[in-house]
Amino acid sequence: VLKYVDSVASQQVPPPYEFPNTTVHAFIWEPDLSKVKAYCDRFLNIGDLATTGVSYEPLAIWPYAALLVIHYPVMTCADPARKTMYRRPAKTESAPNPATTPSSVQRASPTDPETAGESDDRIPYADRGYTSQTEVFITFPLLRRGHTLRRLALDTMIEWAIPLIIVENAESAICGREMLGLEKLCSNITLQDKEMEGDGTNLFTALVELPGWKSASPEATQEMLPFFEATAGPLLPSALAARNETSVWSLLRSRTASAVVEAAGVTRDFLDDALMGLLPSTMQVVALKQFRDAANPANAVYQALVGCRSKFSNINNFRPYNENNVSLKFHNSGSFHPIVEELFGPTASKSPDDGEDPVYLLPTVAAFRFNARIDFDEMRTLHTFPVKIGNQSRPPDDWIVPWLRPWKGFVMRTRPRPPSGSGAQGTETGGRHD
Amino acid sequence: MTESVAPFITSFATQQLLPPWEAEATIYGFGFKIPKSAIREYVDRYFNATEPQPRRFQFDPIPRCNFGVLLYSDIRNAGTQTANTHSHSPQPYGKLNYKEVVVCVPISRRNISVQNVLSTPIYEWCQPIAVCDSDAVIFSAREIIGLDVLPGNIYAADLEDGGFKLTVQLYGVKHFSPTSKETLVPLLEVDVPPNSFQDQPPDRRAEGVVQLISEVTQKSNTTMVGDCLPQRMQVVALKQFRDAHKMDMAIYQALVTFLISRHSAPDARTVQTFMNEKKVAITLSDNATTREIVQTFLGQPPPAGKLECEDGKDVWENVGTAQHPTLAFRLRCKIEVNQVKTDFTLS
Repeated sequence: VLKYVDSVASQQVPPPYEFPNTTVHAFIWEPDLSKVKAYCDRFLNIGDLATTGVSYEPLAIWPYAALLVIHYPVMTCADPARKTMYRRPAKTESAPNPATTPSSVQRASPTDPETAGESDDRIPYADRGYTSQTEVFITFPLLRRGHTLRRLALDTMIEWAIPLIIVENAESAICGREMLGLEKLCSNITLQDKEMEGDGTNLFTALVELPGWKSASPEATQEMLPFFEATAGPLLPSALAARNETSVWSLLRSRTASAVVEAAGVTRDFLDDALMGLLPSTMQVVALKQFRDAANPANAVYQALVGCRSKFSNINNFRPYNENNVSLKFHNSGSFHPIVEELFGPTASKSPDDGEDPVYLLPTVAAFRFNARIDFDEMRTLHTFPVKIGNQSRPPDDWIVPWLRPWKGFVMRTRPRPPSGSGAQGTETGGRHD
Repeated sequence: MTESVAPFITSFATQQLLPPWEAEATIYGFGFKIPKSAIREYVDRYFNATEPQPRRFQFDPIPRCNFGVLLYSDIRNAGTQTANTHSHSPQPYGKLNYKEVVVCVPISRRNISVQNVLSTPIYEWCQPIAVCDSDAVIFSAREIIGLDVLPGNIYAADLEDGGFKLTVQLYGVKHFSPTSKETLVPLLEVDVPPNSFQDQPPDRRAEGVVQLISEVTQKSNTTMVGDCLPQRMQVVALKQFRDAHKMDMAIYQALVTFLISRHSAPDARTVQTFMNEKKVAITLSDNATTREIVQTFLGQPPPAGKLECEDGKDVWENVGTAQHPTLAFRLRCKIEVNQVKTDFTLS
């Protein structure tokens, strides 16, 4: 077991996090399930099935995906007890006077290995303030299915994959990539979510710019380019909305009806099923956390499936959009073309309009906006894949579904996996010359 | 040799500039003395304290070479030499430009054999502070090499009056408080007034730092590029990643080294220029984040007067006030980043 050598330069604030009063714009669309299956096989079903015991596949009973645009006005560390290794710097402070300094501040308990030898004026992560950002991501549900009777009963559940996530806060990107394995991209995100003057209707617009290359030429230079543009509005009910909506929101044209949904969202927190079933109030996210070998970047030195929980609560101000008033446009040229093609398939290659770069218009089946509190916690390493040759041990799996975790000791025995003969990730003691 | 057999699964979001890469660079360098105790503090905390014990290496300050170099680099046309690309696409993409500001400090490493015999010293450079404005370079440095490069804004301008100004901003807070909102805070500023550029080092203090750089260069068995930097600098980093569940634990730790090679650009009009270092002002901004970063390198503020600069002031008192470097130069060259390898894997 290795202790992480903390550094302010790591720029990591470990979870749990809390994000109060977020504004969520959700756009529901029907993905090509063959692309979802390909994603599962490429990033999640990479181990030996006999070893992992589970596999991922599209959730056929709910063949939808969501594109979420979330504005977080406040992002903070939710654990006030978690501290950095750094003590509070002072300009010219001399050593504390033991006679006047409370004993609890002078020295932490020597029995606590975390703080032994250090004064407990270490800076809590919460004292590093709060930040805000806007995030755009695509997510779809997957069925994690156990392949034995026991695993089918204990390890089968629905999890959500996030194949694309774009943030405007670089620290968020670093935390997501290095701790969870979410390959967040940094971008400029410009949001407008304002009430239009006079008529009381809302118009939502989003512009996402990413670093990219206009062409595949080796002489091309990377630059910030528009990648995604969205417009939506007005919010329903509105006299300005198109009348030809076909989604479930045609049933919710009155404020009374949307208020009912809002109330149901709050109530259903207990049932883990909010927002009319189109988006869960609790999302168990799965991601492939991996890092390259320094000497041979084509190989990995670590690969594991990592899970976490993203929980929506205090849902309010729920308002639907008419999906026919929604435009989601992805720029589909240069270095962005592989992204669009991988997400949406070859059909994404649409003919460009005259004189314009090719774009892909993502059709939506439903769209809505709400405010909510989001909590991000319960990070776990579900399964560590072998990356080396050798007789080495690896950490035990943690596939067990959340509702069974309190009963884990009753339903399964947890013990370190014994060394396997061929290919096992593990701990190597002592140095190894490369 | 590497024992890894699992292929890294690339996606369109990997977005790392894969080493080795090469580029054209305009470098501004500022040398300054560092207390030996500060270098000792840093290597003990970030290299020598790593587990498991007994470790197989020992890092130390280099005797009589207690200095650092602040390097601002304007990198142009950086392109990977790897057959693969920045991402997983079979199409090769082009190049990228970026700016970076790093503090380089020479240190020595002796490997320890299983019989507890110390090897002859290897002279390397650590980079306790590094800031870059390119996501692809940051992702590469942090996730492949293990350098904790910070994202930030770097503004540099050659002024019309012949001067030069550099401003580095980071995301941080002015005060440590739960109610502080993270924003862009200044880390440092460099002001080079007009008429500061000259052909030769201006005085013996500057020559002293050049002499130290030359000494480290000789110990590293390389030559100088121009008269101010080693042609080859081997940089060492602690590559580590947190466990997803137990955040205080690491799932991987290794010592990774790579080589930065600089070559004089034959077509450059001015390869090397010195500045009158007494006219150059470097200011470390005074805010909570900057002080925390300075603490990364200098450690906890000691009782006043124990950690002194050359001018006799407490190092911590110098935060927020302008300082003069003891060497200032500009260099145009080509750089290569290559020979990336894992020297020790701790897990």
